[in-house]
Amino acid sequence: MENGCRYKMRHRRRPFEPAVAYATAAQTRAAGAATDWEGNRLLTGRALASATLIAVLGFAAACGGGASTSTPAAASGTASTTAAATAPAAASSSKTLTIADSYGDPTGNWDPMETSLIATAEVLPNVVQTLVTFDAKGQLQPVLATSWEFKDPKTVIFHLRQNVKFSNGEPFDANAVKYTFDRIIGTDGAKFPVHSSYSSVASVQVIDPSTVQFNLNRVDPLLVKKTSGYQSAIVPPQYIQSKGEQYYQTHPVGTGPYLMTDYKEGSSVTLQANPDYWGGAPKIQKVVFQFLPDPTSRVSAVEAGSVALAQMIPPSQADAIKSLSGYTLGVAKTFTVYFVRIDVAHAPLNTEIARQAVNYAINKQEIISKILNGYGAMVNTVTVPTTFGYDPNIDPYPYDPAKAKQLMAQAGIKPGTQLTFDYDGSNGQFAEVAQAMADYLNAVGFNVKLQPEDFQTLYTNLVPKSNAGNMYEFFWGGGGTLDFDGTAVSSYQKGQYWNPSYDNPQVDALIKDEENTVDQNKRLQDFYQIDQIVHQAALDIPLYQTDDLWAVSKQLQGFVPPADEQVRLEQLSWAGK
Amino acid sequence: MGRYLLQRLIATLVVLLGISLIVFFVLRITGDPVEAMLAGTTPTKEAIAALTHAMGLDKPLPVQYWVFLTGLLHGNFGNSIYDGESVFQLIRVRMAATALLAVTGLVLGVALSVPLGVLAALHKGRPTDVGVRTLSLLGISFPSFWLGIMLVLIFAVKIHALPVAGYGSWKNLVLPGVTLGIAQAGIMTGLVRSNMIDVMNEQFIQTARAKGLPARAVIYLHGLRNALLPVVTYLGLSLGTLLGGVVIIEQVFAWPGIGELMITSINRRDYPVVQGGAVILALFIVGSNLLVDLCYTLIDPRIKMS
Repeated sequence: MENGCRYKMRHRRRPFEPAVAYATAAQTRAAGAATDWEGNRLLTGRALASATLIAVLGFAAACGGGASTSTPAAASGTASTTAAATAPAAASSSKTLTIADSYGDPTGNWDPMETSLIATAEVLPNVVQTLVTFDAKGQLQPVLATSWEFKDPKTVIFHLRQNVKFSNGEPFDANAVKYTFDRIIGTDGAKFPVHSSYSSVASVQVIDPSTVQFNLNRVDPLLVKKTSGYQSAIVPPQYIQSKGEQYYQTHPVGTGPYLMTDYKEGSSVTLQANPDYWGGAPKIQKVVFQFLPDPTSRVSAVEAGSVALAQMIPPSQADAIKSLSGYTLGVAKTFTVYFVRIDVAHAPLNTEIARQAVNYAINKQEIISKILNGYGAMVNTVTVPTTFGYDPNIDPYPYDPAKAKQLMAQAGIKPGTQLTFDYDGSNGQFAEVAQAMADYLNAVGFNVKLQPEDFQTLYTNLVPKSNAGNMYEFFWGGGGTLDFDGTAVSSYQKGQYWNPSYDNPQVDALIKDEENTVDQNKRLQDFYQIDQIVHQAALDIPLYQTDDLWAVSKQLQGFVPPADEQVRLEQLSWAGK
Repeated sequence: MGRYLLQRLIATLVVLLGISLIVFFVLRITGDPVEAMLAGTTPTKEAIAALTHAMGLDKPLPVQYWVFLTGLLHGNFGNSIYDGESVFQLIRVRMAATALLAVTGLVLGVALSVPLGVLAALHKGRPTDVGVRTLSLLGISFPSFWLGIMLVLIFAVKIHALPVAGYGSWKNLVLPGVTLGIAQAGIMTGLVRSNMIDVMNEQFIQTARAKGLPARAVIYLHGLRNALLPVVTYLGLSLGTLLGGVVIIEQVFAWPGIGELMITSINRRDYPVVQGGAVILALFIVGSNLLVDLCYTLIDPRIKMS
């Protein structure tokens, strides 16, 4: 169950990529009458079972009535909206692809602009599409835009794919793009997180039906990358205008390979292949994402053969999946890095050498092999190699306890000095990591005090106010743009929400520099410099890049374990079909 | 009776007001949702400030509470700040799922515990009694998550008779229903047994026997009926708690119930959903307590509402 907690937690990871009906009196009396003295002769001849019956009927109708009478309504409501049962449908014999989805219910609003849940991010990109997307290597690839260019640093032009239609038959064109982004940057979008991503956009202009121009109020080198986020997916203007915003939330329409045909609150979502998809009709006709947030349930569903794909298999269960004859284990290197951040405001870790000492003291390789069962990779900084701005020339601080002790002495830290370490107490796996780190640090002479906290309290109350102790758990997926800018700004720029204490004018100047040019080479050099400064200052203890483990049916072809949790359904097919 | 109901109604309103007040303010002490909402973006100070303003979370707390309270009086529970979905709608769907599970569990519990409890009471001290008490103890002792997982392993993974988890058909209800039913039966069997033993020693039972009534009439009509009074209390109270508290079973079986929604929403600090949910759950608990009291008069006419 420890892993259970960790995996349950992960639906919150993206943040870091940041009528009572009473039984009628008559009913009640009727039930009561059965036990009435007058009626006893009817009953006395029966066995124990009749007592049960009386009890059950009498109680359910009369006393438990609060809910029992509302249940038939609930049950019938359920029956009408839930036609297809989630009974074990053997993946091999049915054309339906059932996926055990780990993030749980995305809660019923499928308007891309209005959502911010990772659960939505997994399903929705098969229905709605963006202008561009990232491939597994972190390279931008065309989707609805075929090419793009910076006309000048404050003007971006997208050339759009032609002969594309939304699934309701409405044409996709520059007007749809303008409508989509006008919605996001307008007052409607202000209540949703995606709005802030486009604060640099002054207006969106239609040049011709297949060309659209973004006019910026400041230089924004990230603009194209930002449009890859599913929240910026292009929506059909005529459909939304005629049916209404609210209708769109539950009946999303896009240009994607699949149509959303059914959604059961808290339970599942069903997609059907879009026969008119511009990229060619998908091979698998029907796909069901079944919400199974509990990892034990997902593993059981795989063992029972009721799902063809299951994500986020706990590392401890990896061997169990491997031993099943009908499945293979798929491993994806995610964009997420786990690390420990040091609050530079608090002694004894307020000096560079003290922070380096802490870095030398930790055996990261052993944490990966022992606690993660090897499902993780060493990192040199808090970003993954696919991130633009990742510096491959930095070597991670090696495990060297002697060096750690020497640096501690140099920093004047006496043995037994206390370090406070905050982490999310509901994350079972990280609790083990924290314990191991405490042991390593105690071995070189620190006295670590572990402080498990509530997740939201830790990241909204403690960290931003510099109250999270000497160091605290953090994990980060790069801000969704796979660009180091997001990391640099939110973590190292002075005065930012998650950077209560670090203040380095040089870093601030470099960030200002890279944000004001669209020369990507120049930006890369700026990022390398920031990487070096931050590494030297040892602001973080980078631990590992996480792996995402998938159980994959051998019947399924074309599945590549995705780094970003999105299953590209159009790439899949059934073996032998 | 009318005056009694009026008093209870006023008390209910006071309870609800208290709950709304506590939930509202405590929730806000422990963090806000804005940071977690800035998903897939960089949560810069400007972005956080803008979103906080757009959601109205920068208004003074008493003003926000007043908005929430006046909304409640109009039957408007607000919308989830995560996706704008109506809180009432969210809770209605989830509450229906939880009610279905809770009632199934309780009905199964009663169906198992009443005959077993009576059987044990009538055979007090004999092997049947010991057997039933052992079963009852087992039922109480199995943690529901463990029992649930075991049932899944046997009936879903091994013999493929039932689905692993999910919601939709009657098949999905069987395993979580039985898991809950066994735990409830464990508690109620002991209750029925001990009450039955007490009642069977009462004088009116002797009288009934002396009148020459058949043994079954004495047991079921005089004995059981009186022994069930505390069971009714238990049922009423547990119905209220189960509506908010079958969360472990809900998680094991991916049952889209209210408990799961509340925990997710608390973790996200989705204020309107947590506030609305707490008030509605409180309403159910207060309501089921009232129902228990009303049931007493029906089962035992000696009890008067006063």
